[in-house]
Amino acid sequence: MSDISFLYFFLPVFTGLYLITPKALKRLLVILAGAGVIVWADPVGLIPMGICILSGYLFGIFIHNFRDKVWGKVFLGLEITVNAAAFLLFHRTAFDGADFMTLLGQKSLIKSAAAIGASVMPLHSVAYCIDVYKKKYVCEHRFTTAAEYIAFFPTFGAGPILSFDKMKSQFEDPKPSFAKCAVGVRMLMLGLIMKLFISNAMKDMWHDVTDIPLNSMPATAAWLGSLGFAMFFYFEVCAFCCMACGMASLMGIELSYSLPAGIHSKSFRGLCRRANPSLYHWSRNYIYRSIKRDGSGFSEFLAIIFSVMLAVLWYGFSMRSVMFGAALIVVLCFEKILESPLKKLPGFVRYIILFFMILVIMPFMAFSEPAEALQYISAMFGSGNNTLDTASSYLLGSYSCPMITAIVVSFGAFGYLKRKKVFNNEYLTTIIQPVWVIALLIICTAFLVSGENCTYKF
Amino acid sequence: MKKFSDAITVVAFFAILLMFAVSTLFFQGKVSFDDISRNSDTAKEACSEYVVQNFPMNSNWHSMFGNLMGFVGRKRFGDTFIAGERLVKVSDHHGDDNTIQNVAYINELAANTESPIYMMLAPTAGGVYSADIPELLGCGSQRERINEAYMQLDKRIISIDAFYPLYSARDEYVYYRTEDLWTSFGAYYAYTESVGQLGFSAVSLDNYDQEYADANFMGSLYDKAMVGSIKPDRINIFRSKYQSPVTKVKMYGTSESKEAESVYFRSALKNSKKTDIFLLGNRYIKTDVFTELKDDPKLLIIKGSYANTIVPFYTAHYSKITMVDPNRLKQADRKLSDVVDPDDYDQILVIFDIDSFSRASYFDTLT
Repeated sequence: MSDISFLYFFLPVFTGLYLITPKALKRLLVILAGAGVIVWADPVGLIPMGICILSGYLFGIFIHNFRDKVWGKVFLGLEITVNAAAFLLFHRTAFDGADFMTLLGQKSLIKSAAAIGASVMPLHSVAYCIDVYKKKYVCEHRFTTAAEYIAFFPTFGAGPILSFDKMKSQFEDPKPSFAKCAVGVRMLMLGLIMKLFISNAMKDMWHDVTDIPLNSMPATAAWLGSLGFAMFFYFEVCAFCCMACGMASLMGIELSYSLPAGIHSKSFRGLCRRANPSLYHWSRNYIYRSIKRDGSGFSEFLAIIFSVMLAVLWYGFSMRSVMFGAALIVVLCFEKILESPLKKLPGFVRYIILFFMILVIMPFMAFSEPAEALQYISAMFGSGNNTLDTASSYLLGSYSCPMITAIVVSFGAFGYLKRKKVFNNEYLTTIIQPVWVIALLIICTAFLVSGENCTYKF
Repeated sequence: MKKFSDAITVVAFFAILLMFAVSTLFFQGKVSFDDISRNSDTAKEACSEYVVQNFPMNSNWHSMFGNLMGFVGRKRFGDTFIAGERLVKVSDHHGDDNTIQNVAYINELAANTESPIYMMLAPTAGGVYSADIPELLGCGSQRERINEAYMQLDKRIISIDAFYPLYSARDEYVYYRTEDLWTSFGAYYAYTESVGQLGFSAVSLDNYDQEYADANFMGSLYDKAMVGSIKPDRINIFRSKYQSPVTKVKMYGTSESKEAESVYFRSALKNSKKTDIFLLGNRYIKTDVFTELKDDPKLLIIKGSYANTIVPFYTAHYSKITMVDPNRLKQADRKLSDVVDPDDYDQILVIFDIDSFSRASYFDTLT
């Protein structure tokens, strides 16, 4: 989903081929399309694809055959090790070009962050094998089904991370229809406009804020910058998840993902769940629950640390992720300790506290150097040596429209309209739906032709 | 009804996609794939660029994007900013600042030649119109940056202040609205300031006929921000009322050369880069301009893109003007001494705009 050639060439060609391909060959087509997308971005990305698919499939069978014996654990351990290695070595972020190798001061294995899928395929592979070990379902003997699940290309950008048991029947018997295609087209356009209009604008706003020297940063501009970065961080993943759901729906496959409504949360835990639901559930199911023991506060504390840290590192291996993860852990622990008094507070007070805290810790995710993040946070509280704030008026003037749109959307505007059935009138829906979808297509085309970037920038 | 709506949506969506895709592949051909792949590093980049360049109604999409963004209040499009009625290229804070290093190379050049050296660092439109640009975009510091660079110069090198004359004339048409370049008027103001330091009296504009080479010019900045509120530029050229002193112009590239009898190249007006009318822009490594003033001194210009517009005014004072582009030298893997001997010239003038000078990494070719 990197540029206009994906939208105007790959999408119609793939959709057409998929619809005319016999059911038995559809899985193979999806796998080949995924391989093609990876080769187009960076051929080196085929290595983690191969590793994750083969290890997931083979170890899945071994674990299933030996799951009541010690060898089952050994194979599971090997599976986790292999996929962790693939994740560490091949996952590289576009935001700062960091990966595990650069963190160690070594040259990265891949040229740029163009290699895609390395953040999702290992998680699919590990989740599948852990579920087989826990006897949640039997292993998949059909190679193409397992491969399609592990390397499902619509999720390559930023997820969502899928569950095999929920996807298996759909992979084996997809049912494309006009209704699902219409849903797919709507989700695709919504995701694309969120990316191009909101996420890119918020990143540009953050870029403008970072042009201000930290020692003369006005407090208002600093808060606006933190808000802009938070919106960029949130909507970047939302947009790509939305586009993934759209692509899958075109294939007749429904992914369980709801439209963004992160600000509905009154707690940090709720916010983490809504910000990236699939990653939250993955880390909760496969890390938190594996470490936490009933009745042990220490194990729960350890479980929080590991699950939060590993979830944050999914966004990139760099000091900023570590610092942000640490800040998040501190806030979550305090939230857990102060759970009872916090519940007694009015809802809007809890919203304000949550909003305040997320903006204060967000600079840790934005800056590669912890010292810069701390200096930025102190600027938020007025330490900048600036008597005349001209930056804030420029930022508000230039970015108020995408920012207001972002806030409205993250408050769950889409879901509210759907629940209230605002456009439930059949005639109105018949007329409006094609109009707004084509209008979004035209606007997105204008963005893409003008050089606006649609690559995943986190 | 819902099924009907879904069917219409899907069919219309894919029909539009296919229509534009087919049109791009088979009915456009504005730019050939070979031309694009020559300038691209990878096949993927070339394919993407081919699609963008050949997409139907390209300029309409750009215009729609620009107007839409302008409507929602956006004023910055990458490195282009809408400052009132003009487009301005803003400085890149995140790029490398090689000013001190480049000044060191100029000092080294001065140490290796007996000819007097002059340096003129011109402000860009961003510096002159910084009041219309938010402070955080950093254009307001150009005056300080120019002064800091001058303070690092060897005392042998004479610095020429181009900032004050251009700033004083900022209400006149001294910079293009859609191109990151000064106009002939802006170049004339810089000429009047510099020619005094070079030892001559400026030729008054009354001695020139003004010609409108192009009255509807949209520069490279407009390609990035196609906002409807920006008026087109005009390209003015000045021809001496009396006989032009220029007798011959010789240009030397890596393996090609060209000769002409004028410093103005009207053929450039047929291309997208119309400002190449002034000595064909930055295409050549070295350009010699000969005049009929046989007894007058010779001038060597180490040039950036701003020099081309000012050279026509200098032709009234020199028998020969040689322009050398150090960027082209670097690309050709050559040194200044390979193309000219600085000691053959009576004066050496370094003309750059401050932004290009700060970013440049090719001044090592001068030593």
